[in-house]
Amino acid sequence: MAPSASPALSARFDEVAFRWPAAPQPLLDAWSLSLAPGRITAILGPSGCGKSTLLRLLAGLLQPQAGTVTPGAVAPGACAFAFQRPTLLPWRSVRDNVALPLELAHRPPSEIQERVAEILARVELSPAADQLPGALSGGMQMRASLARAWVTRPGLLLMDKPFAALDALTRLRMYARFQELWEDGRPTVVLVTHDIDEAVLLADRVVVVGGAPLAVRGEVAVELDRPRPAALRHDPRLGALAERVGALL
Amino acid sequence: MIALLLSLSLSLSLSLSLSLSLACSPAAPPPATPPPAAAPAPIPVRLALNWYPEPEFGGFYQGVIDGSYARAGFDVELVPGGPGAPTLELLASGRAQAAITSADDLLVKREKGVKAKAAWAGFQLTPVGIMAHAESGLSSIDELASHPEIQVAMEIGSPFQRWIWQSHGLQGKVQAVPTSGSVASFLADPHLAQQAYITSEPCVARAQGQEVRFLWASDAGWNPYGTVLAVADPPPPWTAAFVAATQQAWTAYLADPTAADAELVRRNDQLDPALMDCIATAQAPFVAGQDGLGTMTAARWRQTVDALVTVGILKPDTRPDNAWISGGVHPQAE
Amino acid sequence: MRRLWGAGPAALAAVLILLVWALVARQVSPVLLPGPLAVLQAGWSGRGPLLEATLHTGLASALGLGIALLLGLSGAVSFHLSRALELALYPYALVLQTLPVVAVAPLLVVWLGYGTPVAVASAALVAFFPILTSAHLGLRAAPVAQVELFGVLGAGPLQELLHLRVPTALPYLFSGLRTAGGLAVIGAVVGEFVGSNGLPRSLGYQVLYAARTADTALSFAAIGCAAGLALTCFVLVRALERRLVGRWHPSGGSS
Repeated sequence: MAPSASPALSARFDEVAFRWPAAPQPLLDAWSLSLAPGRITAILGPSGCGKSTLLRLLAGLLQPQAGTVTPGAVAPGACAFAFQRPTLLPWRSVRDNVALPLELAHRPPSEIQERVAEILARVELSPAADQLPGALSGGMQMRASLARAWVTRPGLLLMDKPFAALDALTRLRMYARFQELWEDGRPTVVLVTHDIDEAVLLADRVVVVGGAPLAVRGEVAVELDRPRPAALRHDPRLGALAERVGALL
Repeated sequence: MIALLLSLSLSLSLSLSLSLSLACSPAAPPPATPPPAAAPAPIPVRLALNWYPEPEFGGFYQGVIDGSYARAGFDVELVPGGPGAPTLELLASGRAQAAITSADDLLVKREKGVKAKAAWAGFQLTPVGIMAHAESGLSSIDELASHPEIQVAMEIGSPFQRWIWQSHGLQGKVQAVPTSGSVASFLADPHLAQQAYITSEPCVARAQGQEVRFLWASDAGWNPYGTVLAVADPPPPWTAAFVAATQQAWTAYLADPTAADAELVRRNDQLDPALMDCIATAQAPFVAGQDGLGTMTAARWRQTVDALVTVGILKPDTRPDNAWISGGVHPQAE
Repeated sequence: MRRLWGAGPAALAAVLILLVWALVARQVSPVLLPGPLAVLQAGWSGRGPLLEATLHTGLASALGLGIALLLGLSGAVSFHLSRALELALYPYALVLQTLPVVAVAPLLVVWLGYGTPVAVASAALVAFFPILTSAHLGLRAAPVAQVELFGVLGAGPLQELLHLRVPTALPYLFSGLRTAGGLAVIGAVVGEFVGSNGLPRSLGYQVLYAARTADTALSFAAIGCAAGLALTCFVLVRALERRLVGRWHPSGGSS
């Protein structure tokens, strides 16, 4: 019996202050941002401005010096993280890597087996299920990493430039899979990316940030129907949205 | 992974029980008080030897196999040793009830607080000496000073080495080099002499076809008793009976070593019978000496203490008479 | 066929070494350096006792290695879980490493008795530290990204230990084991040098006793048996390493 999807969690920052220990300036100062539950929000900004730090605060990997972060450190399984690198454990097969979050949550073995098989089929990794990560291509590893993020049917999914290291063709295929997976459960997604086109294609709302301390430079709402096929890249509406986002950067 | 956790907990309990068992290891059973008249239980005595099972302990093995010890009421277990065997330490910790040592070693350990006393001396003349090649022309240790080309392999820093060097003025005249205990270097180098025990190296060298001369330490003035039987201090009540049985066994052995030698070969199958014959023959004069088997005299003990005081190993106020039990075998000679 | 080809250089080296040995031995007294044939002959004629001695020394080494493994692993895990424990006890682990067995041999004989216990203790003593340090290093070697992953997944410290730290540490542990195995054999033999009285028969005792009677060839044969033990241990460790680690870590490759 696969785990039922967790309800979409809300994620927010309330008057958060955060500073790295040796930094001359605080990264966040009375920072507030609310991310709509059940929606995909993309966060764009110049390199090194602290976007990844935002995700880590949301995941509870870092603690703010002031203010509250929701969810912060919440029960495991509800909040999932897709890292920039696949971060698969080299001694576990693809199947066992994807099963890891469910194992750590002490789910019954039959449930784990069923759910893992299901998600592997979804990302088309079933043939490679018993291979070790070392034998997989970059794209396959990324798919496995995403499968691991989705396997618990999280209520909140945090993604840190997960498609950045893929080649163009694989990336387009991953956009399609990502949207398919999202339809099942519709969790809250916070997607940090450098790619304007990607942000506009995948997200409901694009937030542009920058500066020190971090501030919101602007927002662009993307009100296009889903699913959004890759061909939509050439749609003039997308181009217009991308231009507006670019202007904010 | 679970197996790893299990092995971790197993290791913790293992190390715990190991340390506990070390702390609480039972000492050997204590000797019984003097038995009543009829059918007493034999007193168990573990006798720790300070070398391999060889003819220098022949009398002890004789006592075990011919019943001398059993008739005297003892159940003797001979525990062989080897280089560096800690016999006095085993005695002091109760793991052994009797130990074989040399008189100088006993005195040194007593000064360090080991509670042991000498009850009987197997070798009247110390078996220690220096072994030289026959061609060297040496006939006494003194002559080493006039042969600068000869190096001597010694246990450097040992009481024997220090005393010989000091009292015979060999400092700066004769070069001492460390010894490995093996005769190999000696055989390969005609200009090497080696510290030796009459019961050991000379016979081995002869077996390799090399003629040797043995320069007696006792001639040079170093003469602690050898193969000394030590017991705890204060001595257990069965000491006199044990010494008497030992004396009887050794007397029988010296008269006819055949049975004991067979036993030795049985216990030490690396013992070559030819080698054993050589050893038994060579050691005979050292065992009997002039005063007779087993005797200990106050004069000799004083001589040994004086020698050790001279090289600064013992304190000047050391009393020789505390180290040994007098009236053991023969009346005390003065 | 591949395997045989790989054995070529090894066989060639062995032959060359034997030749050099035989040549040098000609120049020197056989009591100092016996030739390879003499050693083989001595080994063959003494094969019964030698085999028995090899068995006992091998057992002692294995036991000592096992103890070193258990203590080293628990030490590494304890140090990993508690920094305070690490700071408090690490210096003593260091002291254990520098302790020469010769110095404590009489003590060990009195506590543990002659022979096998001293050999086991000595083997454990020398094998302990490499295992402790390699395991400790391995436990700390997990990449930050993977540690973060476990943090995000809400894993407790024990889960992180079992599922992340321990597998990561395996290659390191094995590299430590490769040397620890040989060291355990040396440790056992040295322990037998200083703490054996021949019961039971052991290689260290055999080496000393043969040397004493100037039977250097037999002494060398006994040493050869000890070397064989160390080699066997190495091969076994490598095989285990390949099984557990070889598929996913470069160090576990063929050798």
